[in-house]
Amino acid sequence: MRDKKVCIIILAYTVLMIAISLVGNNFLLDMVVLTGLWAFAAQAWNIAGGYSGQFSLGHCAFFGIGAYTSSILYCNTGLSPWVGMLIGGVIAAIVAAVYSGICNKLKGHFFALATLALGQIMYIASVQLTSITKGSVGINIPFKPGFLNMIFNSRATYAYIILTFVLLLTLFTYFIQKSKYGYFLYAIRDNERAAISLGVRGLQLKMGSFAVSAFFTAIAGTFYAQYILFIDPDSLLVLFLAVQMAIIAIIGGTGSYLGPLLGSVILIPLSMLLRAKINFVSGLDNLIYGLILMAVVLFLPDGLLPFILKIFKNRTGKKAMEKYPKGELNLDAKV
Amino acid sequence: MLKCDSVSVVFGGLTAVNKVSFNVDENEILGMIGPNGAGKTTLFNAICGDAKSATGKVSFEDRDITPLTTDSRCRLGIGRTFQIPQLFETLTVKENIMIGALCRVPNISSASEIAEKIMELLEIKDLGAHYPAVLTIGQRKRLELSRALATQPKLLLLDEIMGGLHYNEVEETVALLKRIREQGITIFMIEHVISAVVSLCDRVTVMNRGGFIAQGTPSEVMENNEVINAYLGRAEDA
Repeated sequence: MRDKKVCIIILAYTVLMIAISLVGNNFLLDMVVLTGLWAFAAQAWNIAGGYSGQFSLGHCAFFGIGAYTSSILYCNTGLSPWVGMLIGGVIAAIVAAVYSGICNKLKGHFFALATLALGQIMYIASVQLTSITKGSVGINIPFKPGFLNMIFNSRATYAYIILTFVLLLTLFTYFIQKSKYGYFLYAIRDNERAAISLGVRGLQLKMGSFAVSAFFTAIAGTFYAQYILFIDPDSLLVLFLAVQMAIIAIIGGTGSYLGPLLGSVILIPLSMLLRAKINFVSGLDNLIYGLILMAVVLFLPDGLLPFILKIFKNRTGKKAMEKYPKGELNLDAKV
Repeated sequence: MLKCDSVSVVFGGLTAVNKVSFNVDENEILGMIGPNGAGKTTLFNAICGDAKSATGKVSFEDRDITPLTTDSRCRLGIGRTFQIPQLFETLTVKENIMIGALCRVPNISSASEIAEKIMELLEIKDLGAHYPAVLTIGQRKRLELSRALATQPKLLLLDEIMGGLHYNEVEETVALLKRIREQGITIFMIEHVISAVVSLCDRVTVMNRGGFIAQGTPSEVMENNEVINAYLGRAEDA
């Protein structure tokens, strides 16, 4: 393997897999599974929200589409969730591409609001379409362990699967970031008008990246359903879920394949530990969690990753700042 | 090479460009001058496909490009710069240029080579690893020009590329544009720096209130009474 970063990623994965096989504690395993799940979902969100600048607050819609599609197919026809997962992913991708196309002209906050509406539409649909989704009653997935059913006795198996998912998606994102599409997505995020004037196919790339992002988010949805074995609109299609994906990526650092991993490795165990340990005053855990988020956003608005990278190496931009101090511009030199 | 036929752009009740027809010939440098708000940049946007409400017909190399999007017009060979540089602030100078090159070449390494060559030509090689935030206005404009050149245009639309530059920077840019023209690139430029217009342009058009009021060689245009009244002003008025 020529690429050093790929080697490090695969090495970290291998070490984690071995570590899981040594862990017997259910709470710890649950923490690993949820951290992996949210790392995966945030990584998927990052493809749209971080790379192409399509800040979405509606990714719970795709999460829900994934969970509902595979669960409905499994419970009604017995179709393996492994297949249902892919079908859900494709449906989510199509919905996402169409929605991104419709919202192409909306920028920034307005795009975020439009995606918020998508999540809400899906929530209402899942509550109302009782004949398909069983509405607010929710769907219970019968516990029949087996690989084809994607249901397992041991939490460790779930951990192995989700970590493998995270590895594959991280490598996928890494290679996209390095390719010309990565450059194009950054260009669109920074200045769409300029990117298009340089021949970048803006609309297609935005639709494509949103679809890819939705595809993987739906896969996270299926995994969640198979892990919890119960789905209903209030646990899947709520704003909290969409915000969670965004927050993990933002706290970690958007627009990089490491940001969402870092974000979830810090935030998910933190919130679980706070909930488990600080339970003497109701709500105190959430208060502390909120304060920590606020502190990060206030003091490290670019997320933790750039901060950590800065500690490791002195960036060229900083040196350049010293070389070209502000105020050197001469604006009144017209002839 | 470029032919505009009765091009109009209307914003609500305001007609920014009013039935303008003209040609840009192969390998010429055509200048466009005119007071602020005359519709010059809007006309550029209409040529690039960046003005949604544009009507009329735009042809490029005998092909009707009116229905084409901005990005496909760029791939046909129309490059542009913006009046206020629109840079990719999170990418380095070199990466900014590579984005332009990537619309022609399929992989990163050849885009990187093209970027190196252009940085050499435009004498910004030592800025390659820097971020746009640290550039002076002159360097920002030059980066925009480099990026547009990286798309290998046949026609280059330059929107006030000399605005805000030092006198010696203007001279450098004039020499640079001459070199670019020698490579067979046609240039259509909006410019307020009259000395640059006079020394560079083969022809000059003057725009006022959405329409052309004069066209001709620089000296013909400078002596036109209507142009003097609308834009240049008289020495005794000053």
